[in-house]
Amino acid sequence: MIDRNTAERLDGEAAGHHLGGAARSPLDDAAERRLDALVRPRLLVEPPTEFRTSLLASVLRAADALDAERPALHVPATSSVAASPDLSAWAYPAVAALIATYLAVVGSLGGAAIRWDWLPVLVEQLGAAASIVGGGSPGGLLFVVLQGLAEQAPWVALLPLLWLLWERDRALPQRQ
Amino acid sequence: MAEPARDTILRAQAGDRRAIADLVDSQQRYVYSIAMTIVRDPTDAADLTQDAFIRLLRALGTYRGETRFTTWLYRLVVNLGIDRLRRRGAPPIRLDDNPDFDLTSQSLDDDAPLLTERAEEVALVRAAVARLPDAQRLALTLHYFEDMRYEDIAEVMGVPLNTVKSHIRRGKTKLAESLAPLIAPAASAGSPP
Repeated sequence: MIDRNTAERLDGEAAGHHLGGAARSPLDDAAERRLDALVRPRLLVEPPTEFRTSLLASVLRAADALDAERPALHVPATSSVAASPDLSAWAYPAVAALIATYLAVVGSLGGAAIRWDWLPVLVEQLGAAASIVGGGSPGGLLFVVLQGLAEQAPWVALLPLLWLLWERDRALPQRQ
Repeated sequence: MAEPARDTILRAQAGDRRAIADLVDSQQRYVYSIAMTIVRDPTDAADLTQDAFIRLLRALGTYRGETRFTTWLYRLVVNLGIDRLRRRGAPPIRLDDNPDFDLTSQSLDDDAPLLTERAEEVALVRAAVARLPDAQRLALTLHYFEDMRYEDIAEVMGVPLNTVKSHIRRGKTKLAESLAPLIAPAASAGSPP
């Protein structure tokens, strides 16, 4: 500390800030060290003991009052809900626009020259293979259902995202 | 000066009472010392200290760690102190000025016989510091808080770095003059003629 400050002092003096002259000659390093040793421990003022006690009580009372004003202040910071950012009101129109765009793209691809008829065939063959291996297990049925959904309502794939946004939005009032 | 642990600050921000108590306990002597430097009255300094900690509590959620916590806190104390003096119509405290205050006429040289008692040393040192101009007194008080860098002092006082260096240099020079009998090197008994 002393060395750094001494260096800064010398730097300041080199920059022409020192107080020259006989009346105010700059402190030499040894005198400055003695001055620091004398002043440092005597400059810190300990507050009176009774004040220390009353100060802590006042601050804790203020903390209680603050909690009463803002009860959500104590939501644990580790909670994923508390850690998530606020949800903008534009999120829902944005999701709606995303779904509309997605459907438009899927629709246009379906009507384009690109042939997609190989996909149902592939899915049927995979389903048949699954039924042979699994003996017509529920997994095969699930596969068929998923195939139907993918063909008829591809936007269902976006529902998990919508659900996630809904859950985040629902948690917001608890934090305010 | 002890910069509080990051964990303590985070817990205090979350409302943890023990962490808040730790902050108060570790910082109150520094906050009180700064308050005394500004208002110069123990009762006023106590009020200012309490006010500062309550304001701290309210503002704690806005602290993002861009600066040292202590720098942020002491800046709050200084601003509160200046506001308090202003509301009372007291002479404004100037942190950016650099008056050349002559202490030589108030030198403590004549008090040399009293300097043997530690309590009197404390009183003399504080009296000498109290006679410094506001800005030099505050800069020196912050400077003597062990880890307070010049950059942090400039941040707390809201003045340029070179102004802080100047305040500290001038303040030390004046203190050295006032406290000359206390910092004079001990006479070497065995020195050759």
